[in-house]
Amino acid sequence: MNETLRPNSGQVLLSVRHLATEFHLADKQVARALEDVSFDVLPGQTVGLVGESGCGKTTTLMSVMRLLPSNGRITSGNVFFKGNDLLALSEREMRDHRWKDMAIIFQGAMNALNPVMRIGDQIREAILLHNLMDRDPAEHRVGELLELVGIPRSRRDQYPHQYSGGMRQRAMIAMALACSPDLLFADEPTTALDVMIQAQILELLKEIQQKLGLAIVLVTHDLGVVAEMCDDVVVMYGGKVAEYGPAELVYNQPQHPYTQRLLEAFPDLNRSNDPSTGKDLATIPGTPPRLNALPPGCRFSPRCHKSMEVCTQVTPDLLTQNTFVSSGARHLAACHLLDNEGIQKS
Amino acid sequence: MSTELILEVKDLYKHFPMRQSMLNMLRRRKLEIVRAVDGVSFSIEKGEVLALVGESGCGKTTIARTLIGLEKVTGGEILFKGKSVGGDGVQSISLKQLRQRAQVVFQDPYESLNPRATIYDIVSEPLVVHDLFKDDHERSERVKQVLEEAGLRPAEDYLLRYPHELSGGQRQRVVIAAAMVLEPELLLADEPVSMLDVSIRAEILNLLNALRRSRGISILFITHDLGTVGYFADRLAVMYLGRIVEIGPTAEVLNNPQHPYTKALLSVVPMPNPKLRRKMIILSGETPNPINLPGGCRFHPRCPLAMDACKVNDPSLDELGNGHQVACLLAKAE
Repeated sequence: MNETLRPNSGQVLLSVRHLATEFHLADKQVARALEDVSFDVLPGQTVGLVGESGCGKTTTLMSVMRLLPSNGRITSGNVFFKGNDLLALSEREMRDHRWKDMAIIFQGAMNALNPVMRIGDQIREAILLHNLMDRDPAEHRVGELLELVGIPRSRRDQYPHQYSGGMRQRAMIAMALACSPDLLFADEPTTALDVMIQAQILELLKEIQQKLGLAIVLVTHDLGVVAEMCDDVVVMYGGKVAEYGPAELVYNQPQHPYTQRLLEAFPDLNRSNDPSTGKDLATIPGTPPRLNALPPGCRFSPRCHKSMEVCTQVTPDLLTQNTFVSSGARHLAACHLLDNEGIQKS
Repeated sequence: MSTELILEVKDLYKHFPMRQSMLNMLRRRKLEIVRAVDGVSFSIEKGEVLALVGESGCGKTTIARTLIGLEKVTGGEILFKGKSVGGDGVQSISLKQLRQRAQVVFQDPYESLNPRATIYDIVSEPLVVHDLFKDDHERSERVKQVLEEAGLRPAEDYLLRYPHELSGGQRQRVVIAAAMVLEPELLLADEPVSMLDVSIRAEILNLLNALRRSRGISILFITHDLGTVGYFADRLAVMYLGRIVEIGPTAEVLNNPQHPYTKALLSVVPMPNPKLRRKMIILSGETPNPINLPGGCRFHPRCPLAMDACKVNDPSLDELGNGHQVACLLAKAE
């Protein structure tokens, strides 16, 4: 069951297998927010989780970090970090893994910092809480971290409101790196930022990754950001993985109809056409499924233009049924249109 | 060229004085002024879409707010179909008349709809304000017609619902319907798709494009997202610190950018194809605040190509041919 998804790759840092998460809603309803989510992260690699709002990207991160809200529950699956199953650990043991092995930067850099605490003190607090370091070496480490993320040391004693959006995101990254993790989860790290600042932050993440050999899991709805940053891409739809593989293959030979449509709907500078003659952007009719009222079979079938009878009855499986192998790298799509060899059935 | 000009903006200025402390007033410190819009001219023809792009704080939204009269102009003139806006001469048009013929769509469909009003109330309110379609039956027919045009079909299903019952994309359609109910000639769309998911973003852009084609409506499309511009805009204006630095036909500006700022901005737009990863021109620092503007060209402190002359001379927006204008000393030298 625990076959590696990335062949010939040596050790896998994080391996998520058949992860399922539920949320208990009011009126005893259950939202099946994640089902059968599997992917691997290798050391030093960048993996992108991409999809529209509500597809389960953030829930995946929160499940792996075991930071779900009180109404959320992981119902099955495994999360292996360097071979240890994180889901089998006690809360206390799990706490040792957070920050030291894996850290997270959240979506709103504006809201994640304490407004009445100096930036440098916040970073030092993160170090002191998790390490057995004394105050002086910790202060030295704060200076190192600020330098690493490109914040002048002279701004150590300023408060978050004195920082711009881009600088706050840099401070968040410095704090996440405080305990030298091997894996960084970044949840929409540049969503609220201007393109130029976004480019600066993404460049910074790449630099840090090279310097520290960090693995990054990047959650975003922006297909462009994923294409610029990621080695592997996990395309999610309605709480399931629709397609998974090397970025080059997923973008240039998308296999799942959802990925195909999503890429066509994404405005691309290179495909721009004469607006007055008006070729419209592709759209996906309908709306994503509500997680407490999921359609039977494939969750995308009600919106799929290639839907067949089997799609509304049997849920396609990502790992066992439909693997698509190309040039040594595995490229998987959970779709009945593909058979075991990944050959399109017409 | 016999096409009709819908909107002309001539040398528009909008300055905001900063609040001054009593102490500084007593010290007779100079009053600080934010130069949000600092000498902007452009025009929009009938049926044309002009995109205004730039980073936060470049003055895009201030222009839209000034155009519709939400802010008073500091200097310059706005002409709507040749008539001066807000003036009191014969050749002028009052703000109320303007607001019937020019409508705004704002970014956030969650904040721009009254949560306690039904969709019917929201869409019919402009008709009430402007005293149109007084007959109840006619009014409700008009509301249904415009909802269907905005893609909310069948309209009867939506009339009595409240905004919280609708998705983000549907709400933005309601906002557009409320803007279209008066049959405006000009639509100011301020980041209309920034908050929406990819597939819904495409639907809303297609809707605006369809309205433009069927109604011949002109649109000022304000956005920070260069990716969407190519699909939608006939012309593109790039703003930096309160000024237009480059303007021209969309394809021309996208394929042959002349201003170093436009070049940098285009180079950092993420491309949805890993094969096309290319050299980015990443400008260091952030857009300075428009209180203490640098002398000379206002882009020179961040410009990778700045020369000595750029520190002294403030370049004007000059024609390169084919309606492509650029404000850069280098482009002129070539």
